[in-house]
Amino acid sequence: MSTMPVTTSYGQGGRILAGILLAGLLSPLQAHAGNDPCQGFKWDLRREQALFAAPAGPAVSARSTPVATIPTGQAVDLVLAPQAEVKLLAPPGKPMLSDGAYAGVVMFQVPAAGVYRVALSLPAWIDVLADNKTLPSEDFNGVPGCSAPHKVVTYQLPANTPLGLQLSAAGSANVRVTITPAP
Amino acid sequence: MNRRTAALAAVTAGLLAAAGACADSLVTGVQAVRGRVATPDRRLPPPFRDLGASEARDFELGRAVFNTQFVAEGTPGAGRIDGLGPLFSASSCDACHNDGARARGPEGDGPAPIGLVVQFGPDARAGDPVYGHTLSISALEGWKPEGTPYLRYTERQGRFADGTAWSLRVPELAFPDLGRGALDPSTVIRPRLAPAAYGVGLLAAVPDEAIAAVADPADRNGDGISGRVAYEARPAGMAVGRLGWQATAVSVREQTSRALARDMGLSSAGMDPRDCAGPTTDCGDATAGAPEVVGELLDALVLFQELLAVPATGAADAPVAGAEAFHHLGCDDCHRQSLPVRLPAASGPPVSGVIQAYTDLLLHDLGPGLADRTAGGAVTTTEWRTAPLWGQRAGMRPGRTPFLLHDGRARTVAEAILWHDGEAAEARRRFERLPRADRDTLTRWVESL
Repeated sequence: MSTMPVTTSYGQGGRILAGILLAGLLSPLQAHAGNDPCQGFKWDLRREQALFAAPAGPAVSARSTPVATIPTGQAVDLVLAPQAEVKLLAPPGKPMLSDGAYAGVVMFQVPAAGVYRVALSLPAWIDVLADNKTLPSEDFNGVPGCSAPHKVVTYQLPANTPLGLQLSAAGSANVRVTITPAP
Repeated sequence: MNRRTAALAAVTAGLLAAAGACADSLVTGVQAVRGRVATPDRRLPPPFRDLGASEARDFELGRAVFNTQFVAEGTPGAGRIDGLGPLFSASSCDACHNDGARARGPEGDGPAPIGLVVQFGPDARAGDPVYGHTLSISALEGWKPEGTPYLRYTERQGRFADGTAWSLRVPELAFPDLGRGALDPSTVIRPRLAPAAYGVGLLAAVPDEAIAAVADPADRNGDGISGRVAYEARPAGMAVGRLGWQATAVSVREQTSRALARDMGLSSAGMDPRDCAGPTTDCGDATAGAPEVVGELLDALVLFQELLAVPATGAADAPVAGAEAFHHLGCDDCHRQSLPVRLPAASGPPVSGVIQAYTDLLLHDLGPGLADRTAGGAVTTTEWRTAPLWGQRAGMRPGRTPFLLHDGRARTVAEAILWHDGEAAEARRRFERLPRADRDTLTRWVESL
């Protein structure tokens, strides 16, 4: 539906414009209108977005036994299981009701220590664990309405250490994930 | 100023007490109750007092509800967590009040972040005739979001008395893709950053008469400060509003039910989530039968927030001169250090004590610069509830902008002070006249609270 946009400046000394936009004044704002919501990320996610857009390999079961190991630097499609059926490595770092939720556990390693991004295609809680202890996240970003990716969380990871990636409270069994070094 | 000077010693002593030995005991009095609590894991904010086994279970259930991402009605196996939307702004409480803290504000130009909800007035009871109380930025599959608010900032420059430059970012909101037509010209556009959830139970426990006791709506004492009580009409009579940026909610339960309905499209305890005036098929289906958030979950969610502790203060490590400047400037004329509370006890009579929230819970005129405006351009109310300053320290994380004031426009404490006008204009002018070192001392102290 095409509508007349409304803009309001509510700051000190501000002005209000309602109705037809003044030419040029709001062009930077208008440029966003109707765009893909995935453009709303504040971080540069071009690498993750390219990985999410590319075909992934065969789906990997993230049931806890046996625990699969996934590669980093590429998209991986995980198949989660009903959360009640999954043996989690540790209680989720953020407790949630798990009615109808899906969960899964996989392992991974990174070749060099540093800050890495874990990106998911749907809402789910992410825990990264070393020796079954949850590592603290450093930052996160997410955009409603976007699935490529939906959310990104950063962690400081040690090199060449078996790490657990535990997903919980997911609303779907199928999730795409990437693990990439932060730029 | 004589009155101010004469009171300084006593006030400073109080501030020092707050910053020192009593830092983790903000509720004192007839029965000492632990108040502010260190939070080793910010994802698991603790209660402000010890809980019995049953209460602890309910608190943890409430925490889980707070964190849960609700899903669409009919989602297989979703059990207690379906009913989201179909129009909504966020799918969980935690999405905006992350870890119980205030939301992250807008970094710059572009779509408003999820934690900056655009509400529509004229007030909390009546919204836009078409869009209702809240602009829903998200929708379930098959539905269309109502629109996306976009922000653009311009910088307004100025200088302190010592010549140091300052710059404030002046926000401009645009709605270029409204899905159901233009806003009514009389609709008030109310951008609101999700405030911290912690401490709301303590603010709710301040007796009505204690809030009224410090009100001075006609400025009878002639100090230029004329705070008034935010009386709200409710079916049972007039009630004292105290929660939210303009004190439009009278209780944690009311605030919670309202947010579930308007921000998440979830019905609970009589709150209808349909939030627009168009055909039902456009607004979302009505809730037939039981509320989507059942009573047990709503009760636990309310309890969780009512018991959330305010993160521990670091004021003991901040310069005392900051506390003194806070008083000298007159900041504590509104940001009162202490208010009494009456807390329900597990057994026996209520526990009386004092909280150090740095608010009077009154509405004050802060001038047109912060005021909401209508879609037609008219300046509306310039009154805001004095924002509680406790918990500032928790929002001051290295490398992150704290995003202060109702829409997150202020990037520093100094900027927030510079936005003060109206009743606070004289305090702001005193701040502008301070030497840089004194300004820094004051802002560091506020950041430590």
